[in-house]
Amino acid sequence: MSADALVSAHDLVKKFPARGGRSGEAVVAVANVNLELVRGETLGLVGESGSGKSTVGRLLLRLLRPDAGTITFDGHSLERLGTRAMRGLRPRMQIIFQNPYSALNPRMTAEEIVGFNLRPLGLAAREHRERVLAAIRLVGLGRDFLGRYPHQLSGGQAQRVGIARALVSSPDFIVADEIVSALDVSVQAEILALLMDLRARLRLTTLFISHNLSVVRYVSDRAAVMYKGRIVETAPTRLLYRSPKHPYTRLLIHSVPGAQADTDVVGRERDREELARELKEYPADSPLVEIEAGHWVQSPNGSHANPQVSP
Amino acid sequence: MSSPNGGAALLSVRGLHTQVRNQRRTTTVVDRATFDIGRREVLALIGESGSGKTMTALSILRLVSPPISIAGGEVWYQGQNLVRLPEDAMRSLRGRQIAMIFQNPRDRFDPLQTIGDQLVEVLLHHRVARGRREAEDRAVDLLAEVQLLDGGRVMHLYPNEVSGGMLQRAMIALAIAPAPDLLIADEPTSALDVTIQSEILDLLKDLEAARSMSILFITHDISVARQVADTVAVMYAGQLVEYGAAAEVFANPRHPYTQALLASVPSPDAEILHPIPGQPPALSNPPPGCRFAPRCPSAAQHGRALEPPPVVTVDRVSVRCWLYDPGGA
Amino acid sequence: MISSPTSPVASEFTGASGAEPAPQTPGTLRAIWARFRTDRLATAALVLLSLIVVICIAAPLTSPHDPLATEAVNRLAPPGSPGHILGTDGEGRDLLSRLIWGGRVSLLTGIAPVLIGLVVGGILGLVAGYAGGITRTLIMRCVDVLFAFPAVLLAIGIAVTLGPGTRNVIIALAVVLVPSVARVTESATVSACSQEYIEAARASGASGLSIILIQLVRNVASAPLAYSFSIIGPVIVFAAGLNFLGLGIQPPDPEWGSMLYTLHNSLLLAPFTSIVPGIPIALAALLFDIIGNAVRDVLDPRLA
Repeated sequence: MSADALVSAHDLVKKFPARGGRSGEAVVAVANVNLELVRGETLGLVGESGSGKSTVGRLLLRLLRPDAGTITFDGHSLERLGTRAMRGLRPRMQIIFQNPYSALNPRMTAEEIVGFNLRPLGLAAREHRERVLAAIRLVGLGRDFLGRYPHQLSGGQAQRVGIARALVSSPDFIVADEIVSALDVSVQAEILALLMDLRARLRLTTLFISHNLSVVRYVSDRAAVMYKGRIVETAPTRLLYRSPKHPYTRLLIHSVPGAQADTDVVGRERDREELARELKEYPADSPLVEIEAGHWVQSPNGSHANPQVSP
Repeated sequence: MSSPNGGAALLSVRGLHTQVRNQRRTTTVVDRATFDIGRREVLALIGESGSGKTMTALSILRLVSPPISIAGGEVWYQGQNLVRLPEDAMRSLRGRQIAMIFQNPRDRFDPLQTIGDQLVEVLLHHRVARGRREAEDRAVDLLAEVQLLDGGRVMHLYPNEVSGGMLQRAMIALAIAPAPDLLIADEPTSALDVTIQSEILDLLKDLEAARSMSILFITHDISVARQVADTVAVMYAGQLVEYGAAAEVFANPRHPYTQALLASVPSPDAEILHPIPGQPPALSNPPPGCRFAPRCPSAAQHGRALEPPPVVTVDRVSVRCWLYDPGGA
Repeated sequence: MISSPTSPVASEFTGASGAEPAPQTPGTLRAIWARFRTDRLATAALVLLSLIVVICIAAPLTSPHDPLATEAVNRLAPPGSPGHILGTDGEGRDLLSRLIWGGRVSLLTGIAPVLIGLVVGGILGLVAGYAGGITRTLIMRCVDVLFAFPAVLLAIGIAVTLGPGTRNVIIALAVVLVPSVARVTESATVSACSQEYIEAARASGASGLSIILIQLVRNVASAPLAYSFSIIGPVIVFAAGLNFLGLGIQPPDPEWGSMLYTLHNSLLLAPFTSIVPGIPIALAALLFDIIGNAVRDVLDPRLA
């Protein structure tokens, strides 16, 4: 593990009781996930529904307790920390949610919503108000937004309030969980631009969760692809895009709408079948192997010769 | 706006005008929309939330009720104007000749009946099959057509027992069961994972070819439109601003909004994203003249932003913009 | 590459336009006020009820006679008798005065249990819903035990055990109401807690208490409030019933329910007189119900 890793997780496991509560059967949402974020970097976590990416995000913030594995934040071990001790750390690690409307309390004004996250810092009233206003301004909204309720905001504005809320306590680490997925494609750009500007200015360390590889490409330094609860490939973003190895990564890239504009429907279907076939050949619990600098992939034949810990 | 294909249209929308009336004011949500859908054509109607695209689709099928009403315009289908058709004629047309699918298939299916039962019901209702046995056989065939190959098993499953992608395919099967000429798809893939989305988009293209069916595909995602569209219509603030063959519009977007939209979405080639500054106008109080002008980088060039821009045809693409006014900007 | 700070133009559809100032509150109070302005029946009910309440509270001023003063020669006088608009009871006491004085008790025993039930039940529901797990199971199962008893029997049982008196009637009724309020509140709390904004609140590092008080209460309050409003009418009747049975107020103190009891023997002798105390009971229940409906429609339209 790198010395200047701000956040890291080792062999993280999380299970949920199966739907219907059948005894014995549990859904393994996250299995043996290892990852690390160096101060100031943005790691993109890509996967579709059921991949476990949102669960990983919540585990890193200890909003869920892991069933196994360790989570470390700035030297603190989180997995066994009590609720009270965790509360002290929370202002330093925040989350932005996917759906701006359900993530904001419908009966609180923007000022109250953002201000609530500042309460744990116990500031004097005037400083509290000033910092809330500063956070609102930071996300490009004016003072007149302080008194507005979520239903009076557009999707983009509501999401900005969500971002202001996450940043008001000056956190070191942010989990951005699908923050543009619920927005119109035309609004996504402004939110992404905002995020990129803020993380540069505030030196944020970010876990950017998304199902959309194209979006991840814009904001992340490194990307990790998750499939069925495990990380199957991870690399610096450009490298991942340029030379993906794992069939699931390639399937994701292939599925980007408009990406295969030159192939016809038949060709695309054939490609998909081919990739699906390849995917079946990878054992689920195959360990990650470093094939080139910084580029780790699951090994296809599941050789357990030298199980590596991925960075 | 004139049709880019020139051929006889399956559906011809002329000046469709839909309004919402409440105590204080009347808001126009679809402002004199004009476009054609040809046979065996996918028209992608692209626009942000609130641009009027869903309202356009609902207006075509006369699925609007007070306070929303169609205030003007015509929708020509098989020689009849759907806007003026009596309700019972409209009812027999809906579902059978013009079908619609939506974003969330779980809203369409009855959770208490199996998928098979619901398919059979549609087949019997539209008299596509006579008798239960025949309907069940047809249902399995339909499921195979939407690539649910173990149709026999799927028939007996309940909606909550299948994944979102599978249910979306089942909804498509329901919609195409009576062999409609036109399928209206309102954001059918927006809630799906990207790999499933890709499959469903290709499925729709397959169906277009195999059944000579036309599709009105509504979406906010221009990249999705790119994958399926033969023709493209871009809507902004209730108005159609650009309309033409997909290949032409994507290669050479003319309206500044279309250009800005293409520049603001992630795509494999673009290196930087350019957000569009500002917000779409509130439909209750649209700006006079060009509605995009407040956000348009070229508005200063022609200086006529306060007047409603003309609709001009350039290389068989219709554009609502002063920049292309032949009278000289 | 940052988009400019958003202009004050608000939502993109038929909602607020840039020209109008955005409405300040989804304001519960404001919404209730607006509703009363348009709903004439509810407003009339409110006015009439307020009148009754004021008259009863101001009993020392409004009551024409001493409610305890007997007049042996003038028993069971019919309504319209000189000096006694509503007549007299079996002991010759003026009915109108007894109704006015009695109203204080009847209204109190109608409203107080609802208030207590709201507070106690509300707290239990909130804590159970937010804490989840064992705490929730424990609280809700205890509540269910109370809920298992038929309300009437439970109230009577408690009132008998505690002994006579208005205070004990209030306690008995409050105990009967707590389970319902708790259930309604718990269900609303659980559903609110499944929302992401509560998860966001937990992620902020705030204490559970501040989350409940600042984030939850305002989202959850409408359900128990609407329920409470709708139950005041029936509780007044219920309280009157308990008093009728002799469990609360003791003679000769007036109260609508107990007056009905003492007069019921005279039903054949003086039919109008004996039913007079029943009128304000029914009227109060009706008025509270009308007002409650209007409030409930505003607070929680889905319940309607």
